[in-house]
Amino acid sequence: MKLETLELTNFRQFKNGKIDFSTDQDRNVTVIHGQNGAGKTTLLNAFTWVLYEEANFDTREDRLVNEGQITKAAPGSTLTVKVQLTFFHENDRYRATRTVDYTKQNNQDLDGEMGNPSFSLEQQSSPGNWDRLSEGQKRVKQILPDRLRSLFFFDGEDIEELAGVDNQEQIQKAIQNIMGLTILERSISHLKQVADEFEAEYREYADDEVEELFRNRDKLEQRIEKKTDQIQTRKDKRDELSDRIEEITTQLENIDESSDLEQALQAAKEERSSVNTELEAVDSTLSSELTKGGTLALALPVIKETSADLEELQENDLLGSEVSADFLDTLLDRGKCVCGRPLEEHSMYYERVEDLKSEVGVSDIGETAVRLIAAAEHADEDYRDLEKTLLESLERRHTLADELAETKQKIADLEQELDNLTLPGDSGTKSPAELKKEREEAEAQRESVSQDIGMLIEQRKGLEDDLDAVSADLENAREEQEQATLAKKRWRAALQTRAEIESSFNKVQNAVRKLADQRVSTMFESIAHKDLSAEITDEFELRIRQRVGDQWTELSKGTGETQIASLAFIGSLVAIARERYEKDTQSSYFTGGIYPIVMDSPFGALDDDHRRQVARLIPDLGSQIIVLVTDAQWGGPVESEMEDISGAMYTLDFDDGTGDGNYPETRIRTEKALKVDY
Amino acid sequence: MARDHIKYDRNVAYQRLVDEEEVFSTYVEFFMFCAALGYSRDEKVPQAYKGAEHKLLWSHIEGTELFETVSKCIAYQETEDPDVLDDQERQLEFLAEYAASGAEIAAEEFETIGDDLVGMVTRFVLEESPGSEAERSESDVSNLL
Repeated sequence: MKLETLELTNFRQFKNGKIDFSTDQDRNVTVIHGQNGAGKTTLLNAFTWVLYEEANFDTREDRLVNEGQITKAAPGSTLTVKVQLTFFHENDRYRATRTVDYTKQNNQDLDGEMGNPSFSLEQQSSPGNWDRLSEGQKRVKQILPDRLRSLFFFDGEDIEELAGVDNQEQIQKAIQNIMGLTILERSISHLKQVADEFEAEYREYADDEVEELFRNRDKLEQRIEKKTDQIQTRKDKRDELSDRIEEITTQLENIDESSDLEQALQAAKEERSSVNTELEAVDSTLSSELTKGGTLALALPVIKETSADLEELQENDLLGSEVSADFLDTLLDRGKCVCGRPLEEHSMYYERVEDLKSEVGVSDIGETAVRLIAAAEHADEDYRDLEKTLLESLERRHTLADELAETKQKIADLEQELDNLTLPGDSGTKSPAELKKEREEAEAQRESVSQDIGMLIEQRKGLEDDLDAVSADLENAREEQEQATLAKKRWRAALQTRAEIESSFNKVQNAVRKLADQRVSTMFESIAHKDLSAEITDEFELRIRQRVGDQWTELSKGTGETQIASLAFIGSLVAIARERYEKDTQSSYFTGGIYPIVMDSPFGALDDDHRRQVARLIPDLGSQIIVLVTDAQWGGPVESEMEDISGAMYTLDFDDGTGDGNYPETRIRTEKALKVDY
Repeated sequence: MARDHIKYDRNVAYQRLVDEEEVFSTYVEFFMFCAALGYSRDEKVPQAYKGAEHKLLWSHIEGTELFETVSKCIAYQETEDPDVLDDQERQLEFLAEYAASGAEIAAEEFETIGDDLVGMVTRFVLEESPGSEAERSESDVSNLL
């Protein structure tokens, strides 16, 4: 789908106006900018209204008619509100038109009475000729499915929320939507009901033993549910405490007396965390070296001694020098003799080994001894490498331990200084010392809640294991009555079908998650700072991580990077849909498509650097992008980045209508338009 | 058919170094460390495998070149008989006897409750290893030990 033109008549503050979107491949962005309240959000709503009869305004959602026109209209007269969108889809040109009439009842009626909206979709048959399609609305929903609407027509200020642990559901839903998986989800839920009905029937005819198993299963399920609720309650509590801790930190940073101390304290804590992370990495290196190297270190003498003994036996022909033909073949294939000499084809040594093949007998001991001697040769070298790594790691630990002690002392000193700031703030607010104490209490509480969560998760795991055992017993139970056998078969069939659909659902969902993850990561890394990376985790969280030393830590929410990552996620879905469409696969769920992105205010409250980064990312998000932006966001880096890549540019000139009896109105002024003839 | 496993007991050292602190990733790796330790101290528990609880498969030894080498070398030094190089049963028995002793030594050496078990084991390995005294600059090690 590629958007061509949007025409508005009497739609909210637009008396009339037309926008030609850029359909150029290289300059795929259309920019529409205007001051706050000029009508950007109205334009976003114009798209959704014409296509789906959906509009979402802050005020007077039902009042679509232009205020000035209805006021001026004579009583009894009718005004038509019209939005028309022309677009291309799969080589055909379409024209979607939605209208609604407003009839002015009397002189005092400034709203008009709204009639029934009507919709038409026409397809161009030849230049200037349009054929009306019989099921226009249905066709529109096939071209751009309703469920994808919020992915491709969105308010940029809202999408920042996609990043962060609280929004797994949105990410998961978006991934399901892009593949049309919601239909499978409904089937799973339906099959659950079916299985429940058969289960009830089975229980009715089952014997006491089976009924007892069912009762046990129910109890376990209830206990698991209770544990899950308890875990969730504690997680909410932990999040609440984290928010409070963050809030206190911000407060302390904003109080003049404590500002510098608090900032220094946070920096010291970050340093402590980074040193600890590095210490863990060094310990992990040591563990992995020790796990085999420890044995090598202690056994090196016995290896060397045995190797020398065996060599002596070999020299004195006490081992049986013959080796197997297979072993000689291995040496020839490897191109290296046990003595370390290269065995190049046609060389003297190669031929000697070849000749030995005709003489070989069977002596496993001799062969084992040759292998042992060869292994001993590199054991010494391996030990030297190990010793070097162990010594270096110990030295690094030493340095890090000193740094850690120093940082801990710094933290203690800064905390002491904060404790001394006992005077309340200007407006009688808490003193820095009181705030710090409150934060410490919240931190202790959070630690205790986190431990509870861990314990509850363990307990739930135990219950789940018990549940698996009871479910297996139920599976294996034998039935006396025929009705019970039949009901059990049906019940199991429903459960099995559900499990199979669930498994396919999870597989597809996970495959799409991985694709989205790769794309988000590539897109994000191409634009963001080199020490940052974005990923969609196995739990469907869009996370941004920052490299600190050799380790990665999670970046906090609310940064410009979250906006970039969220946009990259939308871009990844557009790309997946496009790829699927171009692959031309037969799918029962979703055949993909090429979709435009229409975004309102993608720059939010970002600083200039992040605005520049977002502006650079925008053209890569899809094949056609329409950006609605305030004048304040447009200036500076955004304008300089986007001027050359935009194929069309419009200004929304807003006249608030004060002064001379006029009404608020927005006119669309063309700044730049690429002319394309169709 | 040759025996494909040997029995051994897991004492407190296994619990600390494998289960709790994960200094060693697997029981097999720690078992082999203990066997090498027991042998280097020339201490073993005769027939420690008799009545022991846990099973150690020969395939786990055979699957790692170093472990197979150590197993054969210890067995050869014990018997001075080259035939033992292909006798997995006897090799397993020697390993189990030395590992039982090594585990007791490890339990004593690493019994101190502290949070630096990885450091302790590393220093212990460097101190115990007579492997390359000639190459090692003593000052390097003594500074860190």
